[in-house]
Amino acid sequence: MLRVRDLSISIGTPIKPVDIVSSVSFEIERGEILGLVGESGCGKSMTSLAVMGLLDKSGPWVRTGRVELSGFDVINSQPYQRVETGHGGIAMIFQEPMSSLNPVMKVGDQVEEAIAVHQTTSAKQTLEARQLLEMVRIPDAAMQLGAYPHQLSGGMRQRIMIAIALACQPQVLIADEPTTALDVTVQAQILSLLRELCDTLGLSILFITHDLGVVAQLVDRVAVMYAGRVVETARVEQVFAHPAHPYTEALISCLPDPSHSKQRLTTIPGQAARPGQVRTGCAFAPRCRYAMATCVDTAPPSAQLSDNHQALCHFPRRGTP
Amino acid sequence: MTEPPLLDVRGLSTDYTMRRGGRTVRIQAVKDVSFTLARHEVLGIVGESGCGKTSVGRSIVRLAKPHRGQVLFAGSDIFTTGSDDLKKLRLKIRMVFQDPFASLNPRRSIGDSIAETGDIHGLFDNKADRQRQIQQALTNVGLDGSFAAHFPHELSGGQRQRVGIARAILPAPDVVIADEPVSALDVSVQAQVLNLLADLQETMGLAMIFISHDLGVVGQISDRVAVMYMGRIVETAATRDITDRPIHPYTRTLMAARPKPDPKIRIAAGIEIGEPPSQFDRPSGCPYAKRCAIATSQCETNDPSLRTVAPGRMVACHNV
Repeated sequence: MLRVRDLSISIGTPIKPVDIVSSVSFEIERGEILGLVGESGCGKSMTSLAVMGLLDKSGPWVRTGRVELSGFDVINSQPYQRVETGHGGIAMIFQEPMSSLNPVMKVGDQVEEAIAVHQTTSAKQTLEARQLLEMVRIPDAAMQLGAYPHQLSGGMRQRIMIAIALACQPQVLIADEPTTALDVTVQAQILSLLRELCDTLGLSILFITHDLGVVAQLVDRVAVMYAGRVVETARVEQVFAHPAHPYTEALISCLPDPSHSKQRLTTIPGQAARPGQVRTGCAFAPRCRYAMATCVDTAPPSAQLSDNHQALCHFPRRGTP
Repeated sequence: MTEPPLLDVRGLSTDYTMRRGGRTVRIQAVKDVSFTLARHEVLGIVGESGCGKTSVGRSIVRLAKPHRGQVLFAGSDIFTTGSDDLKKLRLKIRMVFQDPFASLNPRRSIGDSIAETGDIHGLFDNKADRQRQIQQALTNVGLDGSFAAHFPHELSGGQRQRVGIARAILPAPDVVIADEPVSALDVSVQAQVLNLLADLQETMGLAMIFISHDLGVVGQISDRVAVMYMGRIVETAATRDITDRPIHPYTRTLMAARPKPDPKIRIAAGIEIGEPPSQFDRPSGCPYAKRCAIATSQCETNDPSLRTVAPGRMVACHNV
């Protein structure tokens, strides 16, 4: 469905580019949820903007790589070409729904705005908007069309965002930390809705998050990013049972566990490397408890641990940690 | 006669008035909240946004004035304290805020921010002593002394939060109120800051109120947990009891909704557990009744009060 190959995003001048995302590759199958996991500044949001085709030459730009949606080149095409060839199909939702919605426009009109791209009569637009609101399980959908964003709760606003995203029947939905600003009970319901949309519509989701708990519950496959690179890709069960990259292992061990209260948490020493920092060798080496001299000198190879399980590491962890 | 608890909060209620649709509406942000905090104890307050947990924390440092109720610190009421005593009190109860970006003055060096309290209260003998204490505070929170000359924008989120903590502990307080101190941080940094708070609590013998929406984080650091829902405490118990054997239906929902890092527990399609009702039309009975699976007719009309169900354990529910 969606294939990202060798994607590098750069800032700086074309003569002296600095990569903030380097050689990122992943793919998402139909009806699959891929979790793109990493901490602030690791390049996960930048990757998603490139996949949306939202980067141009004025800011960070795509230096190398391809993004293909069912074989269609997303990066080297204009948005109108995508619509004309029927490949418009990537939509996106963001962390803070309030700042993505127009505060002085009824939510129904905002949904209809997206529907107007393919549906021209007003009555049909309203009907479709109501159906979309029902699909995202907003109670009293017909009435809520007339509400303004401030009259809705955070969870309902995020549902509106999802409805807008679904208006043009996308094949891929990019969700950039869609539940980070929400309470846990509301989060559970939004995640449940995304799972349902995936199963019923065959929607593919690129789910960007820093929350490993959400990853474990929702996604099918995981790509872990560190300092602009994907350092591990695997099925979600493999990631939690046998994390191969030391960074993944460390991230999982940092999580607080309420049933082990009053115990010290494991931490990762040092600070996250910024993408683009000039270095030889592995970006994680300075913080890695298993690092050897090789790790500092030589860039790590991609190690194939099993089918669908790769880690960018000289000494990937094998077996139980 | 036993020593009074360090902090004794009795029947705290805070209302806010808001104009809505041309009318003035009263919102009960905190409703009849009582708890005690012993020396060296960590109390976690957990709940969703708008449940009143922050208002409780702010009332204890007198940043918000409650409409009813008392807060007794070492036996004396902080709301009737005169200004001289209040100044002393400000050194004893300190606060760490959520957003380390917003809570530090961007135009003031880290050293000056940390020393501000000391400057105001005349805690430093001379310049050298001031410098020494700043260095000591930075060392205590695991930062290099050279950070004193830096400005907030040069620091990462985790480092800024450490500065926020250094500022709070400089006058060697008795109580630290930490309001969502790690929610703006990445997981790996969150773990570092939680460990730091736990270490300081241990070495300085602090009592702490740890406010968070995340039961995992609260459970990690607290001895006791109070769960709040719509301005009220609905359950309070030792941490292990709350996490392993929650009694109140709301606590159960919170525990169940917390994403667990275990891929064997997958989220199902079609979860509908509702959202808290609007503060503007607060139900007359139990505020949780509408979302509650075990609600009966009396829950619709009678707001249950906290009652003791086991030693050290209180629940506000008719049906447990």
